Formats: sequence, structure tokens, C-alpha cells
Amino acid sequence: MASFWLYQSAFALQLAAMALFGAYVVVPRRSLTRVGLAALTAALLFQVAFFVGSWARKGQLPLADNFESLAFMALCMTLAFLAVEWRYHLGILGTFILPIPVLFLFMGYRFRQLEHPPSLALQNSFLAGHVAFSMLAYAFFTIASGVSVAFLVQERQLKNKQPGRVAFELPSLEELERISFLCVLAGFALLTLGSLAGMLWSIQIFGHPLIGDAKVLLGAALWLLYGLYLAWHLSGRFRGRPSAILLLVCFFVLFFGYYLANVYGGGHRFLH
Amino acid sequence: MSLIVVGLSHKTAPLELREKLAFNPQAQKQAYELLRRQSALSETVLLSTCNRVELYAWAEQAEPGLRQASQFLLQARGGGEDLRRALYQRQDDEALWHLLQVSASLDSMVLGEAQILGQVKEAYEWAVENKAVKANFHGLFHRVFRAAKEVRTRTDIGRHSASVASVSVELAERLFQDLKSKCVLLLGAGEMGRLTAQHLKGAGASRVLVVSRGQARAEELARGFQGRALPAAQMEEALAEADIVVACTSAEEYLVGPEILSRALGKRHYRPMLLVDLSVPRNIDPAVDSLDKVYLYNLDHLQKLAEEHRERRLASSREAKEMLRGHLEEILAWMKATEAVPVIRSLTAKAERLRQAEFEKNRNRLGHLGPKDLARVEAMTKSLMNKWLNAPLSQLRHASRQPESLRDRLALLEEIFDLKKEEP
Repeated sequence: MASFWLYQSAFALQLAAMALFGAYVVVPRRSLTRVGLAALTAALLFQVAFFVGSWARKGQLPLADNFESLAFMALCMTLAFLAVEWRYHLGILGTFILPIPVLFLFMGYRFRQLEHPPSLALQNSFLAGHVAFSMLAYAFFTIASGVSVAFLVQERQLKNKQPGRVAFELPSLEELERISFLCVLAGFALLTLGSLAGMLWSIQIFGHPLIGDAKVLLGAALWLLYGLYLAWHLSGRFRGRPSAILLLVCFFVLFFGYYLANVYGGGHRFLH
Repeated sequence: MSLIVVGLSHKTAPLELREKLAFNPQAQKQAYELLRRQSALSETVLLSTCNRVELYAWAEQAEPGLRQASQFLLQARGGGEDLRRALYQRQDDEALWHLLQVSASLDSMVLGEAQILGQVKEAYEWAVENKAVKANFHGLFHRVFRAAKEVRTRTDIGRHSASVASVSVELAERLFQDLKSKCVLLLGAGEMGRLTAQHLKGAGASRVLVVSRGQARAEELARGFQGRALPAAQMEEALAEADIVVACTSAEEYLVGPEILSRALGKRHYRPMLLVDLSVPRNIDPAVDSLDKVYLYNLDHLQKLAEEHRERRLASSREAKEMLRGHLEEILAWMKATEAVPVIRSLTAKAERLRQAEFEKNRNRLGHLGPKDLARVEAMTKSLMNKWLNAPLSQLRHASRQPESLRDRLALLEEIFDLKKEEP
């Protein structure tokens, strides 16, 4: 494991960024989001340093246990958020998204192991690809859910004739919908790639794809739910609130189903 | 040297007085010709907008400068006692604070309005064109523009609109990503509706449809927007096409109800719609608000929002002032430092003249030296001069960072080296 202080610094900076974005909702000072973004960028650098350090030390992708997976998830989310922020300058949107990577980093403390033997399975590039693609997909899905919360807040304020400061800070409803859609599209493509890689790995190792596993079924359910969202969006009829609510349902399944099954349930049954 | 300002604004003078003093471009050209003859004012910028007329000047001494600037304004526009009473005068840090506040729109009639910075820039460019600006004002105005721009980009001072028409545009921008692809339907020929449609068109809306009771009036209005007039019978088609509906008619009944709007929504594949009802009595049935993807705002909603926005701008102005205070200190320090420039120039010019005179006087006595050695001797005199000047010049540069002691030191240097007689 790379120096743990890198992880702790990243957590502290991420927490500071979240607090600064949160404070911006109360005190409308642009300097708060600017400092927040600087803190977040620094947090990302620490997370990358921790990830690369762990990789170099172990000689394989550091995704062998829950601690490493949570750290990688937080890294992906921070990266995805900064990419979206850089492209769209969303500012206040950080308030809706940043608590999630902070939560993951916090959960990481619970699973930290000082020494962990290298995983033989992860030396297989199909499995490493399966884990990396899937986690990146979840990061994009999480950003899409954060954007949906922003959409629902903005939509309610506009419908109730009380567009507050948050509504005037956020992008337009149309833009928020487009960002959600693009994030889900990217996540869906990554999830598909991740699932294919996982399937190829299981064929390589077991001679057939594994379909009876609860986590595999949950992955398939997620794939279908996000596919349904994409279909709704493209049809036009259910755009707006229904689509945003569906995204939250998807996130609920993702978070409570997948994360908790993975983190507390111990992951794939056949790996034990 | 002092920065001074003399002028009047919406805060000190009513419109009748402001228009009496206003300078159109032709009058400004003549004004700059006259200003060049004012001995106490070395650099000038004349700012004339509908809300203020101000003369900014760089003066050798504040008092005579203010006197001359006031007289100039009063005489140039033939002003009387009422005009004299409305004029305000500021000097040095107060004048700079005023210029900063004006440029950052903190002194405007509509707090945070966007035009004033452009108007101050235009006034400065006009002064440059008329050769009324030299190094000091170039430096000063560019620093002020930077400060004002920072206030606009880093605070919310100019973010929220404060009129019903512009709030409607902001709401449309909250719903739609880009107004360029959007269609506006104007119901009726009411003035406020026309103004709102104009704002939406100005914000980028590409198409305007007009439905009005009188077809001739509708066509005339549509021509003004390069749009299309439709008969009232085609209301449903118009609603299906429109993303933003602005209603402002004198009709006493609802023109748009939930049934017709539901059908129109189906035809437009449930894309969202913004409905702005500016009519009293209302023309859009409030029941349509229950429809999904429909956002209805009436006159009361819009006026309430405009009032909230005015309050938000007021709150942002406090942050803007704090930011400007930092710039005020920086620019004042820079202004003080510029006071040392003429003395530095005089001192180096005098030393150079003495050096050249001494060298020329001795050139004949050095006739036995070849050109190379002569050049070496001249280089030595220059080096000696520079080394000798180094100490007092560094002292001056150091002192310019401590404005309180600068004036005394400058006076002392002028006295010691007898620089008053020198041409700068």
C-alpha cells in the first residue's frame, strides 16, 4: 500500500472542497467555488499519487479489496466531476455530487488493511479491465444522479415560481438533462465493456459465462435500467421529471444493491 | 499632481439639468479643443451618458484644477446657478474611489447595469483620439477597467435582471439551453408583451409568431420581429410550435386553457414550454399550471422576482465594494509613485547634460588619444554618472512605496540638485 498519508490528505482536501461548495449555497461568493475547485484538483492529484504508488508497489492494479476499490471509485468520481466541470462550468453542482466521493473515502477507512497479498485473479487483464471499466461506469452514473438531483431541485423551483439563487446558478433544465444523458451514455458504454470483459474472463477461467451469481444479476438489472433511461430519453415522452426520478431509482439500486453487496457482502460468490 | 473629477449625475441633478450639460460627439470634440487650453489640467477624460456628465482630469494642483474644470463645464454648456449647485467635486483618493464605483456600476441608477463600463471605455478612447490623454491617464484608466471587470466577473452584481421583460428572458434561459433554436409566440399587441418579445428576440430567439385579434395589427407586429402572423383560429398550431408564449391582450377571458394546451403539448412531443401572462385580467387559465412540462408565470410572479433580484444586486454590491477597496489602495500607491517620475527624469537629464558638457570641454585636451581610447573615456564618464546616481534613484524608488514620505524626499532632492530650473 502506498503511503497512507496521501489517502488521508486526499480525504481532507475532498472534505474541504465539499464544505466550500456547500458554503457557496449559503454565502454567494464565487471565491468559495474557486478555492473549492483548487482543493478538489489537489485531492485528485493525491488520489492519483496514492493509486499509482499502490500500483507500483504491488505490481498490479490496486483493486484487490474494498478499501482499494472505494479509493479508486472516489478517484473516478472526482475525475469525472472535474471533467464535467471543466467542460460546463457548473459551479454549484458540486454541492450535489461531492458528498458521494467523500462518503466513499470515509467508508474506505473502515476496510483499510495494512498489508494485502497480491490477487492472482487481478493479474488477468480481462478481469482487471472488468473492474476498471465497471467502476468508471459507476462514477459516470453517480455524476448523472447528482445532476438529476440538481434537475429536480431546479424544476421544482421553476414550477413553484420560486427560482432561488440555486436555480440561477445551475445550468438550464435542458442542459442538465443533456449532461445527465451524456454521463449515462458514457457510463452505459463503459458498463457494457466491463460486462463483456467479465464475461470473457469467466469463459477463459470456467469455460462458460457465470450467470447465476447475485452480483452478475444485479449488474444485468443495472444495465437494463440504464438502458430503459436511454430509451425514455430518446423517445422524448418521458423526458424531464420522470427520467430524472428513474435515474435516482437506478442510483438507489446501484448504491444499495451493488455497493453494499460488494462492500459488505464480499463481492462475487464464485471468487470465494 | 492630483486626480480630480467635476460633474453631475442622476443623484444630484434631474433629467432637465443632465440634458442641459450633456455633450454629444460633436460637442465633445470642441470641448477637448477648449480643454487643451486649460493650463491647470494636463490630461482629461469627459464622460457624458444619460445619467451623468463628468470631467476627469490630472491637475498639477487640486484646487486650481477643480476651479478650472467647474468653470469649463459651466461655460461650455452655458449653465446657470441650478447647474452650479448640482455639480460635485472630488479629488485624489475620493476622485479615484468615485471613478472606480462609476466604472463598476455601483453608482448607476440601475445598480449593476452592464452598459456603464463600456461607456467609460468609450469616453477614454474618445479622449485618446482627441489627444487629451497621456501616460498617467493611460495607466490609471487601464487599472480602473481591470478592477471594474474583476467586479463584474467575480461578483453577482450584474447577474440578475431587474425588469419584468428581462426576468422573462432569464426564466427562458433557466429552461432552455440555447434560445437560438426557440420560437416565441406573442399573443396580443400590448406594449409590455411587445417589449418582452423584443428582449427574447434580442437574447437570440430565432422565430416569432404573432396572434392578435386584428390581423392587420398582427402582421405589422410580426414584420417588426421578422416573424409570422397567424389568425386566432390557428392558435393550437401556434402553441404546438412555440417554446415561449407571451400573452398581453385586452381580452377579458382566458385565451389558453388546459385542453388546447394538452393537445398542443402532444403535438410538440412534450417539449417544455414557458408561458408568460402579462395581461390583467389574465389570458392564460391558471389551471394549465398543473400540466407537466408547462411553466406558467403571471405579472405578479415576475414583479416579485424582479424585486428579489434588485435585493440580490444590493447584497452583491457590498462584496463588490470590498473588492474595489483593494484596487483603490493599489492604484493610489501607483499614482503616488508616478509623482517621482518627473524628478527622476530631471535628475538624470541634468546629470547627462553636465557629463556631456564636461566631456566636450575636455575633448580637445584628449586629442592625443585614439578613437578607441576616447570612446573608453566617454564610457567611463557614463559609468561614473550612473553609479553616482544609483543611490538617490534607488532611494526614490524605495520612497515611492511609502507615499507619506515621498513628497518630502522629492522636494529635498529638487532643492539639493536645484532641479526646479531644469526642464523635465
